[in-house]
Amino acid sequence: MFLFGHTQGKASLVASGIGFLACLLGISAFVYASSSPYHGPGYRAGDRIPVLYSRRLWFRKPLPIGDTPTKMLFYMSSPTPQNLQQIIYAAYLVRKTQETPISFSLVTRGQIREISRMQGGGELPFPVIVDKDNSIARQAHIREGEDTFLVFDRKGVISFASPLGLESPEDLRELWELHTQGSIQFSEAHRDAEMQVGRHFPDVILANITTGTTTDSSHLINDSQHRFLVFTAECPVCSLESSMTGIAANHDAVPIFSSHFSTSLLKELVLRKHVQVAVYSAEGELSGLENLYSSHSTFENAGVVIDVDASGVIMAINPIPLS
Amino acid sequence: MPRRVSAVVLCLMVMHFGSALDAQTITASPVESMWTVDGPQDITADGKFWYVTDDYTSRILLFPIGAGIAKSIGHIGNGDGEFLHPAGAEIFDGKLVVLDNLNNRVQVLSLDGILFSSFPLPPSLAQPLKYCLSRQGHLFINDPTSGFLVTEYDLHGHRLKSFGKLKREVGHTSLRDLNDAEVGTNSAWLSVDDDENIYAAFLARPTVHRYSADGKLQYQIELAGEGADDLAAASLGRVTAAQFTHMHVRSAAVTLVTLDIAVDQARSTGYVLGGNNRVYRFDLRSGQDRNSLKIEAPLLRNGSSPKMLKFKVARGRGYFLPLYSSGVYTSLLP
Repeated sequence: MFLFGHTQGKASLVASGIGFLACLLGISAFVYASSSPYHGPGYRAGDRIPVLYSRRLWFRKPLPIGDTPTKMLFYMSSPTPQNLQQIIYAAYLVRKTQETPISFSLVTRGQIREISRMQGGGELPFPVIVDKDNSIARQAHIREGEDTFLVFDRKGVISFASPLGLESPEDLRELWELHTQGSIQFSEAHRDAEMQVGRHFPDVILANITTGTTTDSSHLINDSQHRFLVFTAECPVCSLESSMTGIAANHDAVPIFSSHFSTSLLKELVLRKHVQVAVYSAEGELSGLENLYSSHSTFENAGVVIDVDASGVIMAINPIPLS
Repeated sequence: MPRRVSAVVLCLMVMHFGSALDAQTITASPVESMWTVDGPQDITADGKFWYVTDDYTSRILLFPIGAGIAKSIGHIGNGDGEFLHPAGAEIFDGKLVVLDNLNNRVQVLSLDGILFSSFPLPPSLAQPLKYCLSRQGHLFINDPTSGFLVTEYDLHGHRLKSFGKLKREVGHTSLRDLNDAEVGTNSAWLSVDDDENIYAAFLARPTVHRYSADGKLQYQIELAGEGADDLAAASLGRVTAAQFTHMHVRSAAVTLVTLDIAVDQARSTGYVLGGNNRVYRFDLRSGQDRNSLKIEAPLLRNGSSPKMLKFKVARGRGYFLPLYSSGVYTSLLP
């Protein structure tokens, strides 16, 4: 009996040990699966994205990414200037388009200061979801550290997937136009900008970045002020810092930033760089001078210098070289 | 590429260009058809159209040579006949071979944009994508992450061979652990002659390699001539933005020492387009350098001089694609 009992007790102990080890193994496997980055292939058109939840297993609820026929999801791993530029441009598109069949959502890998600031300033008219623990990236099969941009329908069927996120605002513009209008219109913005010489400087409402007061651009043209610095670069965020440094040192021209800049970022830079002159943000499109998907300015230029005569006719347009 | 170059020659034989030139300077004149391309990457022709790859709008733009209506092939997307930031297009056997860069694939299309076939490329190709297509239909791609300088494919996507030893940093043992700097060091524009000899001009240093058709290094030269000091300075990062052409790779601006390479086998001359708007010449057989040529072109409306980004050479004439300007410029190349 004793022996039997002892054996039985031992067997029970062994069984318990095995059970404990199995349990430990299961937990380890779960922890590993939860923590190891996904290294599978990127998405292709026609693939299906799973329903995404804000939490795994417990307390989970679907991500608030809208219920429109087309959904655009930008997973941003790092706040590169280009990525921030995409977000600013996406905000512009969402604001501009009424009753759009598209819902745009941003998921950031962790808290991003610039995004939080823009969100706080009410500049982002779409949901911003923070993926603190990388769980959304894992569910969506997005590789660790990579940006991804996906366009999919209500069933999750992907119609467009960009493995490197969005390369330029033009990508977003084209996709937006394709899904809102059914086709893409291309412009000849570069040529348009050059054609502006001899025409009047566009009449737009300008808001003073610091004070918030507004004025009409025509009111700024007087006998003593004939030069504007218009910032319309392809990647304005990339050159914002150097542009503002130049503005701080230049008191001879009126700096005007196009409407797709983040006003909170501009305001912060104006304060940080101790800019004494009034810096303006256009409230409408600087027609002919800027184009939201292309511009006179290129990689090498931050914007354009526009000289006008006393009646506001454009005499010359020249690029502002990057400092 | 020679087939494409022949096409360029054929289509332009009927056109006359006046180009003043001397030993040190070439004057590039704009061809009559002018156009605007936001992100020009490459140019080719078939006698009727110029095919310009526009990275910015993910399209191939077709501009008529002479009279006609401009049109385009494709738009942004992952589907058949759609592109995501294409790196270039070549014409081979009456078909358009498009390097669909960020979709990591090559698409073979009809000249109307209908898909014939496609095959995937390695996902880790260094940007910008650098390649050339031979008369035999072999595609050569600069892919340092493969462990070699050049990888050759056929147009069915079969990898035929890899060759070219990489320049490595001291201390590295594995072929596949290149850091970003090493990828940059081993990034090279490619060109191929009729015998499938490959010429590689490095983006970050003024060096040209020639490999035989079986992948053996035949010579290595440093570009020389007037302005070569500028190239050396650029390779060390000692130039300002105004002097050299730059390229944005994500958040960083990269100085390009060289922008393109082309060969003219009939004249046994190789040409390298420098980031300083000069053309550097060398003898194809011996590798000996010849003089360099400064490119001059009519000023743009805003008063700046156009910077040439890409070029093709055929029978002593260069066809230059300017950076963010319009049309194509041409000049005799001595």
